[in-house]
Amino acid sequence: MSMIDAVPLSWVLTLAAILFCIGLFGVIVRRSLIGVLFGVELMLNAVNINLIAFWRYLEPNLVAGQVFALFIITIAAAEAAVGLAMVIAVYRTRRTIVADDMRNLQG
Amino acid sequence: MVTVIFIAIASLIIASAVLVVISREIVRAALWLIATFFAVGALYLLLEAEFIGVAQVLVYVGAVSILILFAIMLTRQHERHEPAWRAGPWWIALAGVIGLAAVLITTIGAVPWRLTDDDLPVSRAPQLGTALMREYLLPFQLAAIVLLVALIGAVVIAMEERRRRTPTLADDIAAQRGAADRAEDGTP
Amino acid sequence: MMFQISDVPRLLPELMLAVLALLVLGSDVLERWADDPAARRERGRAAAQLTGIGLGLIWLVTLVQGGLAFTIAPAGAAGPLDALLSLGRNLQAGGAERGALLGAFATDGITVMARLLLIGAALVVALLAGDHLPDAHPAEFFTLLLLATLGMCVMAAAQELIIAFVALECSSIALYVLAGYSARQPAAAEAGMKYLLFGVVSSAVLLYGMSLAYGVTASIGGADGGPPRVNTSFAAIAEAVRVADVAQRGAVMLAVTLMIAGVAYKLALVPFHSWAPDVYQGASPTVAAFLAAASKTAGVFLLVRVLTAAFPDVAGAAGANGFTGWAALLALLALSTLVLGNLAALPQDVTRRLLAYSSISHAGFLALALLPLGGAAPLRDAASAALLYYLVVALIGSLAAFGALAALQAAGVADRLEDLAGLRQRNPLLAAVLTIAIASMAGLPPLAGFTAKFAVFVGAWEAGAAWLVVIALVTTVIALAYYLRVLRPIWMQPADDRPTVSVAPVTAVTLALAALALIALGVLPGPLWQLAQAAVLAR
Repeated sequence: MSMIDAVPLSWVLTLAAILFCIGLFGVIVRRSLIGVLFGVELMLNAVNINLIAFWRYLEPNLVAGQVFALFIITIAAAEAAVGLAMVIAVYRTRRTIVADDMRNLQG
Repeated sequence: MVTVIFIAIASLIIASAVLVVISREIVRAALWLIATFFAVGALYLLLEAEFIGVAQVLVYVGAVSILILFAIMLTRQHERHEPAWRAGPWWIALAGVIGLAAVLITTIGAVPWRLTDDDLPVSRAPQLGTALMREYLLPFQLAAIVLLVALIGAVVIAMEERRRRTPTLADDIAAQRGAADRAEDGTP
Repeated sequence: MMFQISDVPRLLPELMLAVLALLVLGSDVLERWADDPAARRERGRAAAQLTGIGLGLIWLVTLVQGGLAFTIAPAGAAGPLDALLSLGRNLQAGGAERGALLGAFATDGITVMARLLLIGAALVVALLAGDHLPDAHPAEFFTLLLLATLGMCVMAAAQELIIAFVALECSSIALYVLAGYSARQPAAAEAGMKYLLFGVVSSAVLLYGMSLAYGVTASIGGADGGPPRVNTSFAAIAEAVRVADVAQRGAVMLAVTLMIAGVAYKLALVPFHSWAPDVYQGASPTVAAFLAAASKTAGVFLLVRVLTAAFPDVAGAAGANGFTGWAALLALLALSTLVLGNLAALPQDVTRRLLAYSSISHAGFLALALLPLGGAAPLRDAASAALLYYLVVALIGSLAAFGALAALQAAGVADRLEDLAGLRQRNPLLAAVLTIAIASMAGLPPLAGFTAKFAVFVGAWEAGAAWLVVIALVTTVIALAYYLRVLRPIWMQPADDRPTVSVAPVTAVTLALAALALIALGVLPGPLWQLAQAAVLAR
């Protein structure tokens, strides 16, 4: 028995929506720059769950959803690499990775 | 049976995601994030997207997590006892996010998704590969350029130039040896 | 649907950008490698010159190939220029094909216009950066500049969700790195970090919207049993949206909202703007010029593509005949951006922050210009031409203004308003360029900014958003106040004992040309207007 007979699509979509919102909450409240990036990763995973669920339930004989998810995984890895490199650069100049301490730029 | 497995995976995803957000120590949050990645990968397997599931584990658990742990290691600092969250009113953020979740879930729930009775093709990975070489050729090539950009960018940003780097023990030894050589040659 | 070898000419400018980027990166290895400042400057100069020459060539190829400004006669008499003319003829023959490449990449008039604008902006930035080199890794700087331009060009041509996303990320990731360049300076590192955090969160929001759009399309399109379709293409989405029922339209509107919110950070529309002042101030001024000119333009083109190709049926209206669809969303964004952007600019004391807020308020005009694009054909075409016109003028204006600031910073002038005192004596050229750029931004009559604003106002008025036009007019008057705050120290205050400012020759010529272009386009708006109309009609 496969999943589409047992679980309605809206359950999976609800799971993705909740995960997206948890990630967004993390982005808003986390103080550390790495913590903010964690939130973004959760949001991107939520998007991927959406895409794979749409593909499996709505058009399993085509590939668009899977291809999209694959590209998101690729790009997310690239974003994470640049983001973490930048965290290291910020730490090197400021000795902190806490977002609130970045007060250099103000009028 | 499948329903039970789905509910188990879903609760694992949500519980570990919540722990990612509320953990006070960043290392714990990172470990919970890895747990979330694994659980999402399991969900892909349940949805019969094996290739994406494997890619998820390889890229997220194998590469992104290691990057994150490295970044934490390199920026380790003395903020263990500081709060993990911003000082601001977090309940406003929580209320806003719950409101957004309500909007998303009701809008999505109201849509009459028309399910298909098409069968899942047997050879899915070759189909994926063919699509990447045909309809999705342009984004495929562009993704290669994005990876090049990320590679150059990460190196340029994170690399300290040699002459600016704090001298290591090896540099000291090399400098001393060079001075000794010059002293032997009699040149200043 | 397969890629044919005969499709290569349609991608010629993009391919040339990629090749040039690799050339710049690779040729750096052949330069003299030493740690002394002279060798570093030499390496940087070499990379800048190669980039500048290459970009100029690519711009010319794009201009000839696009065939918007002129078409070369089919068979000329044999003359001394015959070889050159036949080369141009071949180029135009390759670029003329219509219809989206692989269903994903449009090569129509708008793409040609976008390429000309974006590659032109990159050319100007490369020329300015040649006199204002980054203090480390110069070749990588220019490589990233070129690859960001490549991503923007693809973004402006996207006809499919996946390529739109990948192209957006290609330009964004390169721009994060450019904003954080010379990461040893705390300000640059912070600017890069802030830009990156805003960018990745926005792209996650954009992706969620895209996934919903794909889901709705797959749900509607999956049932009719036709040939397999690419459900991420804008054409398929538009077809699905046309037949969607009420509940599905709700999901579509949610998707459009999230997608507009995700792209709005590129344009720095309020409330997605808070990165802009910090990044414009913290990043190097040439990068700030590139962000204000090219990145914003590319974001507008992506919005044009998404809204007109994928969601024309939920366009709605924002006037007396209803307040629905994405037109209403854009109207709200334009309203908040015009009001808050202009008010926040008033108390600024740092020149670059002030110009950043002015650039934000210009994004409000762009949103206003996007409003009528959902209307009927003749109105829509006129509005599209007005949008293109405004984009050209705003691009030249921000390049001139931020380029002048880059020249000032290179000369060691600090970036507060009072540091501009007596600039008319210290460097008349920079004073004139800044004045012309700012007067054009303010929309004063003889300059190009006036014509551009007027065209946008007419388009929005005819689309029924008269109330918004009135508000925009009021904010334009408010904007005069802070523009005058910049001009006052330049012309009214004495230089006292502040030193004179010297400008490198390439920068001086580039800035003078930009200022002259602003005057010429203001006095003679006809040719550019015809070019914009040709671009809109050449679908």
